[in-house]
Amino acid sequence: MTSYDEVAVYLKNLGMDTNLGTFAERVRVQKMVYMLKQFGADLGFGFTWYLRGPYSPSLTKTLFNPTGEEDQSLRQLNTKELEVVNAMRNFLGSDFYSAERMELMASLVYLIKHGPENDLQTRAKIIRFLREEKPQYTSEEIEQVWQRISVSGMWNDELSRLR
Amino acid sequence: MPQTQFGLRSASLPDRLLKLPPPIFNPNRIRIMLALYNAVGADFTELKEKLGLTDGALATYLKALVKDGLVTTEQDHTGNRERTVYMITRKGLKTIDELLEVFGSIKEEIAQ
Repeated sequence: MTSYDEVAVYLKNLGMDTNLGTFAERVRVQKMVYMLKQFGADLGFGFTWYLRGPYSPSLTKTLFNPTGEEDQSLRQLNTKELEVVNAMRNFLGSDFYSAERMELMASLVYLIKHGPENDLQTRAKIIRFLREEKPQYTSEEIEQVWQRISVSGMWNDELSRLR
Repeated sequence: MPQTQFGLRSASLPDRLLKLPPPIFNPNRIRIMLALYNAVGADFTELKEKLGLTDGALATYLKALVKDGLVTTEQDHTGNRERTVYMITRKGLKTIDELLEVFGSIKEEIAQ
């Protein structure tokens, strides 16, 4: 299985395709693969912060170079992998369909994880930074997403590091 | 000791630069391409702020990159805003990779 096939398997299970035709599709795919990684499906891509939050140039490169075999040869996800997909899908709820909301969710998770190494050691600093970087999101939207991240219990260790 | 045209073992290495799209050979266009290489996409204002270019200069550079198929544009309507988003194309990604690879290989050979 190539990297492309691996990504395609997961995206197919999420009802998405690997087409990077539009801006919204590019955002959604990037944030989806980032969130899959958080839930335990590491497809081997490294993410760094730039403009729209966590981003992996190698993921874009991979998706720009399809194997040509596509659906015919794609493997099935095993039970454990399907559980990861379902857990992420349930966590995202209706945000799953929105590039904008996916961007907010993935960005906030990224900042909670990596903020302290980048002089963002408190909740207030992270939110201020996010508001500056992404003024399109209201404080209420950010607060709502923060609550969901907090309640999920997925990032308790990272949250406890914040002052 | 066999000599090559450029004093490199792989004489074809520098020639590979000739195959790259001409618009890439400009420092600011490379900066734009690198900015877009590392992002899903960016609008005009974001690029302007990141790169510190004037409106006129940025517009001219982007026009050349779009014309050569290295960058593509899209009207984005997410949220309440409408804006033009610039995104790197498959050709653009390949061009940047090739540029970096050629320079990297030349550097390696010179260092040997």
